[in-house]
Amino acid sequence: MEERLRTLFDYQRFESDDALSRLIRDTEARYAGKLAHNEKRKGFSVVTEDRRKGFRLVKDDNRELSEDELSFVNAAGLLTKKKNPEDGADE
Amino acid sequence: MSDSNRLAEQVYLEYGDKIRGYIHSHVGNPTDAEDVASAVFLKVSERSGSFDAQKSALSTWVYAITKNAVIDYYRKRRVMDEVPEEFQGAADSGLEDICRRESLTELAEAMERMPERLRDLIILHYYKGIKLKEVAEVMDMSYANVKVLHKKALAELKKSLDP
Repeated sequence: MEERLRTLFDYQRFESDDALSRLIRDTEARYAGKLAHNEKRKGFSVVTEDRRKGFRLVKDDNRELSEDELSFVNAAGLLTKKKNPEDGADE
Repeated sequence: MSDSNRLAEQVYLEYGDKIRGYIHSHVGNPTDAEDVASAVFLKVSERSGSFDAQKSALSTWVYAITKNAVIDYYRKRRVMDEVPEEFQGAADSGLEDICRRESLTELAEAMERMPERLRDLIILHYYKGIKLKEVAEVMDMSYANVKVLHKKALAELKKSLDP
């Protein structure tokens, strides 16, 4: 059943059945705030400390965090310390 | 115009928006999405001669080509750890049986009959692709509770969809 549901919902992304689209929109509306918060959190799965540059990034694109992003990451407790900062990012 | 060219044109006109919409839902970068869409139209054109309406609905056939194009895109980027779960199994297995428009109607009817909380859980997990631990956070429930409700939701859907 789980596999079938994954396939059906992926097919829904293609066909956009009206009734199912309405149910999906209702759910998305109910949880919009929580979903947005979790999306933001996803961008910061790994943050490492670099002694030369201050805190550095995260994620795939290897860019430096902005001040806002850094505050968010700090507040969310997602900061990790590398064992050897000079080596660059852990992941 | 040959039958296969006619078919390719039909797909472009009738399914163009669905193809692009589906690709955009999986491929974030707009330029990449357009490239994937072009690859789909090219494949449709190349394979239109082999489409057999006795074996598959046109919608299912086009969906399978589009889905495979998205999987190829993930493979080329070598970021398989980002691949959503619905792409990690065999791309074409059982699509003709599962992916029919009527199946979506039946699913919608079954979900309308479910309590709202179970319906939300199913949509968050299977449509939004959110793991159950995160669903628990989003729905303000314990992970243990979400697992119980998930099992209950699956049982209800199985009863409705396979009476």
